Amino acid sequence: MAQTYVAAFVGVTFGNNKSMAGIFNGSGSGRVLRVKRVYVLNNQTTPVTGVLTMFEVRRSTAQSGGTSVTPTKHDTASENMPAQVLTAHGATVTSSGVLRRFAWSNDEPTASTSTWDEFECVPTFMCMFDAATGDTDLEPLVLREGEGVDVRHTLTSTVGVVDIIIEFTLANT
Amino acid sequence: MAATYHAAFLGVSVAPNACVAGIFNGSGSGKVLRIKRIIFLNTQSAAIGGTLTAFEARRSTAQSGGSPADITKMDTNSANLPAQVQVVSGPTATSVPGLRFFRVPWSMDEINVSILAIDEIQAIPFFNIVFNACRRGGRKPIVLREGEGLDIRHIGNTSTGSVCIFIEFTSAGT
Repeated sequence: MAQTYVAAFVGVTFGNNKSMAGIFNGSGSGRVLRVKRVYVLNNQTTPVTGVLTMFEVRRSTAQSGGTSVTPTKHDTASENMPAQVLTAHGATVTSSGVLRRFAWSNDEPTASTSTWDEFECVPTFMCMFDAATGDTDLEPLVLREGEGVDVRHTLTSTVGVVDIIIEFTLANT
Repeated sequence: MAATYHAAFLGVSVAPNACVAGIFNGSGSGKVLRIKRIIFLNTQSAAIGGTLTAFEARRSTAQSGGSPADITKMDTNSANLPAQVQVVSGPTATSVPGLRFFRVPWSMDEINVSILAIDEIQAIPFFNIVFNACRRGGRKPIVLREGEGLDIRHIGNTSTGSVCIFIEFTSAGT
């Protein structure tokens, strides 16, 4: 079983055409990352006037800066992340190759109602990229050295926050 | 594991009885394609007043023209798809109406914040995996041998609105 990690980008503020979560396997890491699942969750309790906006999950070829997030090991016996592996939100990312595009309401969910905003609180529904199908014929998103994944807010809104959870593995080959 | 590819058909406009997304494995490719999952998503933000319509997935026997889709390799070590494999939106496709893999009703109306009608449910990937051959023991995916293709066809009469379609497939020598 491969070493498994979760990068939790919590309470990330929306920005125009902003990388909301990025993982990049930099040159010299000596490792291969495999992205299994990407969740996006509406976990905001402060009232905001949200709008309809859009995300894309993309491959990336460069990443720098941003606010670092330390991935959580599923097993504490797993190795620490190599320094060349960058996990950050708000980073400067060069990306292309759309794996998924999806609409998003950044309005806040409320208790005891059930509209789209509240559905965005249910993890089962909000797995936006799922390569953990159990189908051994299908590859996950493989990040070799010099490659990354960019979960990007592609439109113009600076209202609200979002949580993004990325599950991935780390191996020598 | 087989070489895996994701094809993204982003914001494809609909037209009456027209192929919106096509994958065709042309003669001489030397490959067999296997369609694993197809996801439809409504990502329309502009008010358009769309109507209820429907799509079908059919096997096709010919395909020409169209605009190239955005194809991403899951592993950059995988080979590029052969030139004979055409993955495009809006092609002219020849398919048999009776040979369908699925038919799905679809609202072409735009989605809105803070309500939850069928339009908004169509924005959530979990609910819109319209074909899934993963985790189905003993069942084959849609296999496209040379000279065979997949025609995702809008079978309604409206010309209003667009749809995003994501197709996950593998390519192998046999």
